[in-house]
Amino acid sequence: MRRIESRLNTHSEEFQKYRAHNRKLVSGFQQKQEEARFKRPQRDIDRLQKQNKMMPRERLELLLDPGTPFLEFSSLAGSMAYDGSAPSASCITGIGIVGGREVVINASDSSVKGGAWYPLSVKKIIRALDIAIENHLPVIHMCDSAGGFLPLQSELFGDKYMAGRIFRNQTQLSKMGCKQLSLVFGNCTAGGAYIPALSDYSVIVEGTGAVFLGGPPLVKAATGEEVSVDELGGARMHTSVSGTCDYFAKNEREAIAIGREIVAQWEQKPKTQIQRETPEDPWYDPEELYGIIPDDIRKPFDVREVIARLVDGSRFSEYQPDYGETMICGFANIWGYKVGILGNNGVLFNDSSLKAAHFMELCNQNKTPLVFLQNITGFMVGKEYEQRGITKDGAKMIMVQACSEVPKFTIMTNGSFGAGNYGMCGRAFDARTLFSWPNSQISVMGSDQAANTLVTIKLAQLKRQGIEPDEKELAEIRNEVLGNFENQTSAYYTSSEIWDDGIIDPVDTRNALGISISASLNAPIGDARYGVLRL
Amino acid sequence: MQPKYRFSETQFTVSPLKHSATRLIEIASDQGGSHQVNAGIRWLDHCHGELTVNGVVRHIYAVQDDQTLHVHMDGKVWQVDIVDEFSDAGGASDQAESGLVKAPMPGVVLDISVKEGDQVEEGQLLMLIESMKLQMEVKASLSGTVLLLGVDGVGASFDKGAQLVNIRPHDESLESGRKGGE
Repeated sequence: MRRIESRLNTHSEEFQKYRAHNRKLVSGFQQKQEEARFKRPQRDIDRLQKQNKMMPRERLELLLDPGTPFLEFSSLAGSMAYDGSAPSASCITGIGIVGGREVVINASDSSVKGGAWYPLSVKKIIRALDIAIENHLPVIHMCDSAGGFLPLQSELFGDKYMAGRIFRNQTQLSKMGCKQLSLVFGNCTAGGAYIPALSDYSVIVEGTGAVFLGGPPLVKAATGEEVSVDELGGARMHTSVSGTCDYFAKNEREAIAIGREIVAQWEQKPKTQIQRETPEDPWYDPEELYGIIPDDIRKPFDVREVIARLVDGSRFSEYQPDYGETMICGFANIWGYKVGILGNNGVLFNDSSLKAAHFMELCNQNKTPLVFLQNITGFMVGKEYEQRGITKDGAKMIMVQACSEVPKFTIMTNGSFGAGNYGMCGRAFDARTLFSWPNSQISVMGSDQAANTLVTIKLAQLKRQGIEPDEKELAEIRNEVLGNFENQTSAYYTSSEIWDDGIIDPVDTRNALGISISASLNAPIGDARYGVLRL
Repeated sequence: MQPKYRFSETQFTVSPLKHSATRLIEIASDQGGSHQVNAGIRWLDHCHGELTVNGVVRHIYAVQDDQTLHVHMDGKVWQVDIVDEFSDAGGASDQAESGLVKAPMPGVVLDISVKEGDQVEEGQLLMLIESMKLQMEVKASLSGTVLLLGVDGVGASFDKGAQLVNIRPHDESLESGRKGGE
């Protein structure tokens, strides 16, 4: 396969400027991530120690195979919500390796508000289980949660994709043959009790682990019965009297050791085979990515330069190189796995949309996973384009993309605006994993456009009332809209709301994709079938 | 495709003719002439092998670094370059570079950095245009003189295909330029 020939001048002033800008963004992100993962009030750390509990990330270290990577999801979930009182949404999720098997981890972080479930915690757990379902992965739950965060119960209980969905997902995983193991390190109360109960295997720790539908205070209030935590739902009782939990562990370390022994009994089904070659590092240094992405969302860059720093050997077999030039399509290898890459070099026209649709059909035909590198402001607008059917062509692209049977992976590399987000496999289109770069922005339209639109509306409103527009008032409206946009279009907001599976350093993209592709091959790839294409 | 190798300035094409315990191989030089050998190789590990040529066994050590084979044999070191199929296909398109830049889509002019008559270098920024909220730098595709600017000035809008700028290359004779869009 031919290598991409980079045209980049890494000594140019522009490159240096962008590199400094992006390095700063990345180090800012890494600092926020470090805090979300590890910074806890001393009293919470002390409390766990007094309870004889390990810190949740220590448990994870012991559970996972040594020296193996852990692809963590949404480490910054909840970072812009709840006044920052729930870092990482009080739980840790991701894909790790246990006993040589790829598993999804769902671990309560009891160092945050006792592991209580905030609305975003529930969303994060559901997303982890959705990933397990879509990729046919087993799940290991590390239960240690105070239960739902009552002040926000209306946002985490009643609706279809709220707390109940966690348990519904567990039943579907079991039905699919994906095994679940629960390690009960702390309280599993009410709804939370169903996590170990719906797991195929469970281990419970003496003294700290407890499973009950109602805790002692609730029992006392309901029937007047007085009973201790241990008597009601402790380890000894559940492993010898009720059979709700399978294994008794004297302490957390033993629980994890038993858990690993259980996982070692699980069958290892053969994975889906796709084309695979010997992996090769990119020919161009991935660090150069920092110098490629501009410091202004409106400035363009050649996505081929990005591809050259992501794929094996920087080798890329480009499809239809002279047609639809605002869409770059081609085959490459990532960690040896053959993938079809789609990247944006400008807005989508009729020809680029059709090219993308055709290329995705080729990838479906070839059982080749798709990787989308999003940097899209939208489809071209205007009379000429509408008459040539750009809306139809965009629809065809979305139809083929959404009906794809091959696994899809999306990276938000820069902008993601409007319908372009849809065509390029945005969140609603079931990418197996979707990650954002720290510089990325996402919204229905650009902030300037939105501000201008709202000012225009206000002007019309004032005119109807016969009022002269106040320049200051209009400027205030503009600034308020722009301010909101800046806040809500950033990658941090996206990640906080779990519209992605996490922010990553651009240099880590290769590894994130490699792990994601490998995990996705635990599920079969169906034969290509599409809905009706409006031709 | 038969593999081609470059060795000591000469290019050789290697064609396998017959396959048995060893292979009958024809080695043809691009300077004319060819010869046939019976050759086989048994790898002892990833870089050490026993090479048999016409019945004579030698030990060789070989390593591939990208497109170059380094071979150590008989106390000497040899370098053989693997000829890439694409570069061998040749036929690089030498289209005459045009100094004319047309607008890829309708848009508006944000900034103009040169005026008619200016001398510009290849790659020099000529103007900044914006379309669909995307900025694009219009750069000189070759060195020469700015013949015309097809736009009225900053803030002017243009259609797709409009001539934005035309540059006369340094060593071409003067051609009359056309003003306006198409």
